[in-house]
Amino acid sequence: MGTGITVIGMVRVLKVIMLLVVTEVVEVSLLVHVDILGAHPTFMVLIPIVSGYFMGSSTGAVMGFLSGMTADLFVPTPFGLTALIWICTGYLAGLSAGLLSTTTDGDAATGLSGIGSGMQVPNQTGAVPIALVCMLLAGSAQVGYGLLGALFGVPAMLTGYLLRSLPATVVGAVVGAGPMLVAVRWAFKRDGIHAGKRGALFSAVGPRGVLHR
Amino acid sequence: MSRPKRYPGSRIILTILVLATLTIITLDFRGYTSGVVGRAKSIAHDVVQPFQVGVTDMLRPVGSYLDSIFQTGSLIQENQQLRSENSFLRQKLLSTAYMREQLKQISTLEKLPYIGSIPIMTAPVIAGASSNFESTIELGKGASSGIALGMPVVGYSGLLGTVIDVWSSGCTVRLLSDPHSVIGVRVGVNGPYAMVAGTGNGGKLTVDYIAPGTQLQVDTPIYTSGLNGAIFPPGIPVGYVSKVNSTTNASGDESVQATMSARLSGFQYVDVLQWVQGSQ
Repeated sequence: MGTGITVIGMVRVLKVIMLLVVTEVVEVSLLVHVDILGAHPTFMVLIPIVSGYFMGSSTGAVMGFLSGMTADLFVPTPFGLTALIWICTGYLAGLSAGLLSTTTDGDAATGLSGIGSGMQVPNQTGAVPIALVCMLLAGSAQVGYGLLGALFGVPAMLTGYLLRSLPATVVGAVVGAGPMLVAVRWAFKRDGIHAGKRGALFSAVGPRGVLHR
Repeated sequence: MSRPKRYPGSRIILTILVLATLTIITLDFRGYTSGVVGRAKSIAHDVVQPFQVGVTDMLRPVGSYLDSIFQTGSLIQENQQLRSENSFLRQKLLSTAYMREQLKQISTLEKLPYIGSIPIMTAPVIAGASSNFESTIELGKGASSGIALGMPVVGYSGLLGTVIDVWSSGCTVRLLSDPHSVIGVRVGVNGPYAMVAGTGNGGKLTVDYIAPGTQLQVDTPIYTSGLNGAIFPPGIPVGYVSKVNSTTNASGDESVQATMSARLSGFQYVDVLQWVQGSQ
């Protein structure tokens, strides 16, 4: 089982895909109608933040890549721009968990194997730290996006859009942190089927240390 | 309570992902991925669109109520602006008859294209921009209705933007207010040619590359230029000059500020002009 695709891995990957799709649908269908000072909140960025915070930097980065690519399907900016920012956001979320010393199963540093393996989000989570981290990192992601846009030759992304979008982003992060935690916990929940020793879907990518409780 | 450990592998994964993403961005910039990405975007939009239409239809009745909660400040400002415009229009009313006659003559002589023979496709607005870093809208009609990339989109009172992405049942329109929007215009009916760019700040625009020494006045109308190779047909109202304290660039050309003619919110339908570049 160590080298093959495990059942638990497949179920988990399907759940992650579902998490990405449903969040994106909610974002482009519902959240775009919520207007806070000329901008709308975003939940997609919370996926790498919450994943990274509880599952470690690598999983956060991978989830940033996946959610960023999904989000990039719906925006006219260069494909991959959002993913680039969110990879870093997810990674930083993992580091922030260490800084805040919160209760966690430990940083798996497992990347894709974290998605496909037996890891799961712990049940004991502090509401304030996660809301704070979501708020700060979602805001930082917006600033990073604006800076990158300005570097790509659109200075108005800093001057015109950034300040306007920050309040909506912060409000969205605070409001969305709870539901996203529930969703990420569901996606990474152990399904009662034991994974293999390195029961990962892409175990070759995960360097080491898939954690099992 | 265990402090998370960091493994060297996490940095390797980060590096791999960043490099992969940079490669994808580069390939996308160079146009190598346009077919694959375009198809993926098209499929994604087709999948999501029924949800967007459903939610939009459901929320529309309460949309204005929600807007009023979140946008009280801007509504007050808009109200003041409308009062000011009302006063301005009352003053203009006296000369309307004369202007109407003039307009009739100009229309007859120049045959403003968007009133003339260009086919129009009326399309519903189903969603706004999915990112806060762009000014776009999504329409509920696409390639299956004859809409193609680059077609101009107009609202009640002027140019709104251009179609930048199209799939079978919908399309994305980049609004004139987006910083990526740059179009050739004519300031006044017989005035100088210039370039108008979006600012990302509501309906405010900048008018650049005005010939040095040009005297402009507030409320001077701005139209699409329609020069050879222009992306819009000539004579579509774009906006009007709102501030004439011009700035000068290195080559001596002047810039002034303008405001879009078309409103950026509150509309449910727009017209897509089935006109493509070079078809005049």
